[in-house]
Amino acid sequence: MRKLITSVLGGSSLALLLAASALAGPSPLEPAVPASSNAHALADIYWVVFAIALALFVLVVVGLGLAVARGRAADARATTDPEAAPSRLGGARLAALVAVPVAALVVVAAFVLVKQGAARRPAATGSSIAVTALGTSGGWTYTYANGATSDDLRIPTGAVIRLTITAADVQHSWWVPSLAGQVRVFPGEPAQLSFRSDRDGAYAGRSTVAQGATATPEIAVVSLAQSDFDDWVGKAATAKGGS
Amino acid sequence: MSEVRRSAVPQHVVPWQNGRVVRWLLATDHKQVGILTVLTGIGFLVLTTALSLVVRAHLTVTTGDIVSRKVFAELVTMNATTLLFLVALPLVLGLSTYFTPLLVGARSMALPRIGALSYWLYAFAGVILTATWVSNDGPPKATFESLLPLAGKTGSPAQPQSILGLALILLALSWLLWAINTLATISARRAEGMTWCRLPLFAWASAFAALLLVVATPVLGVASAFLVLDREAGTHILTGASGPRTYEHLFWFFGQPVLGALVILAAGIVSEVIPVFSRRLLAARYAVIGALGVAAVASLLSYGRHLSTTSQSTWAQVVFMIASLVLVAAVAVAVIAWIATLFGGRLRQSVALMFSVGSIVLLTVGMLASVFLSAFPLAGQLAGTTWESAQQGYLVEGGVLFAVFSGLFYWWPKLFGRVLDERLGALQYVLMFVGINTLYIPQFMLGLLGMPSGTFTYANGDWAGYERRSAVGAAVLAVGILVFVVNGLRTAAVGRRVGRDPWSGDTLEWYAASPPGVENFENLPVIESARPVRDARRRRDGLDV
Repeated sequence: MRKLITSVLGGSSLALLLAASALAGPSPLEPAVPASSNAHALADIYWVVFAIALALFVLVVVGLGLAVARGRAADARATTDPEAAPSRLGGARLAALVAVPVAALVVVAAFVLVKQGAARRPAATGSSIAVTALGTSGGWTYTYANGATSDDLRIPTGAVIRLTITAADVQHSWWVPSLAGQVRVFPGEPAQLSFRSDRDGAYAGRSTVAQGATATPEIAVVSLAQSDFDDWVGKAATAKGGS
Repeated sequence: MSEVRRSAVPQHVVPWQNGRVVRWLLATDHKQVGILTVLTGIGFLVLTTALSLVVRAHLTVTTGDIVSRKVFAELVTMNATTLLFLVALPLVLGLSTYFTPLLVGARSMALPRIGALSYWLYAFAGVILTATWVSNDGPPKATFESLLPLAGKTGSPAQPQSILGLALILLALSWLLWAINTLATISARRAEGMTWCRLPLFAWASAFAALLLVVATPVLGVASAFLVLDREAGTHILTGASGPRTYEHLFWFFGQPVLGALVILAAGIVSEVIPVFSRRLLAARYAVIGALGVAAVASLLSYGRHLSTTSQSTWAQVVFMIASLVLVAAVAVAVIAWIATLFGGRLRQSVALMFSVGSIVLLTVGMLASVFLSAFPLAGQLAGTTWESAQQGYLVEGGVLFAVFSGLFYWWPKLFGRVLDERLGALQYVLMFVGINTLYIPQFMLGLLGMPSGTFTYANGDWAGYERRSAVGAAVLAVGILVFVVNGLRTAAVGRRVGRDPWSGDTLEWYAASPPGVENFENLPVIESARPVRDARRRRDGLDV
């Protein structure tokens, strides 16, 4: 039986390594590449939590491994009493051990409190634009201050985007990982989201709310230079007025 | 005097009630009810494993050619619903129904007929929910949370959505009855000498889980009743602007405590297994009991974590985050105690112990992953993605199911008088451990890459590689579960019979026959500690107690 257990434990370790081969792939443990101050703050929180969680996990696994190895060795020693001595874990020892995860979780909470503002809205400096996003099962429609509309969100790089998100039919969430954390809305209850794109480019996202048998609408954002955005939004408003 | 004799209660059984099937249909004995619940749970586990395999196979190709979008939505909804409501919770509650009276030295549950009713409500709910597969409209497809307004009459006009609501009402009633019965049994039926301080950890866990369910299940029942009334009776309780949000708060006020109850009961099982196979009392026993109590309260207060991507005040978000982190810290106390118990123990190796150790590893991953979701701004990047699915998978299919299998290997001799085959058990353990990690590690990564859970098709070809690895993991996990089924059937036929105490156990169930008689105990040892059977054994062997 002992041989069997040893081979099982060895096999498990090997298997875990094989499972860990799943780690091999593009950006396996990294969050989306940040392209806004919100996403940068979210990435900071992610990496702090990741480091703490990894450290705690390693402590648990090493502790378990040592405990099992020591316990097996103890069983191999012949004694008159089949029982092990009672544990002396208690009082100060227990408090010292428990203090490790508690302190780690306090660090997580404190870091989140420090970063939560930056993770949810950019500093209110520079220009800003207001856009309304309407989510339907067919897709998203964006309406700009001058009346222009589009199916993809076009924004000026460097400006604060004040997005009012609404849902028409069922729940939707607006989420573009590189730009901001998702916001989920119920029909009839609009929500606000602010962010500022750092650089020009196209960013993709998706609603995370299941739509039953209907496809979840894709989200596309194009961040343009301010002048390009001004040109586009002007033409879009004109085209809409003319149509 | 080392034993306390118990007087028998006269049984009134008419002959026709002794039939093989009828005896089980009319069973009010907690042991029969417990076995029925566990076996039904295993049946649904096989079903949900099959559903999961189809979902995983579908996702191995980007184009979604294997099942239609409608069927996929049904599979995803039913898989999650079945796993949480018909497998995980019933399995731990079934074990508790069987063992709580034995652990506290009771002759029966305090309310035996209520116990039977609790099982039949569960079984009926499971049957009507599963029967929706053969209805014209197919099963519900508006997610296991019944997201509104999608789950309303307009979003989901088909009848099965109402059947899901009805099933949840029945399940809420079933769990409420279980909770009342368990609390009554623990508080009123304890044997002489079984003080609260000497109560075994699994009985404590059952008490905390019962308290949670007493608070949470009426909320689920009411929310589901509102949903069904809106759909079928034309009321408009949840259809206003704030209706969907209200329903979701009510649902998670139940859902998060259920996850808490699962973790607490899993911790209770692990806390029974580890001391016996380490041959020592659980380290920091009172601290673990306190931690389980704190975990119960924290799981109630942290329910709003599941709504952190909706509009909530910062203060509410902070409260939910702190409560969630307290829950993690409480589990950490138990993990430290388990490691400390193993560390100085004299380990007698067994499959039950292996599953407990596996449960600790997987529970740790699940709880640490929940820290990411508790850090509320970060939930905006992870909630609703496959990352969250992986977190829940590690928690429920990992930590909880491994604890359940640990409990099954540990208690099988008591349940059926035979010991499960340890070689097949070891094989099952390896398959399940490999399977669950291979299944869920890629899902963490896909979530980080932006894949929502329940995705039907995806354009990114890189994701297919991750999905294929997950599919392999799901298949390996399924084989592991199949090995357990084979082991159970084989043991029933040719399994080695064992006596009342094959593991040199600590707690009272090992003083009863295997399986126990109608009234559990012919006599009981004098109870002077949390380990009365161990004390009796040492007295018998002339060793110090």
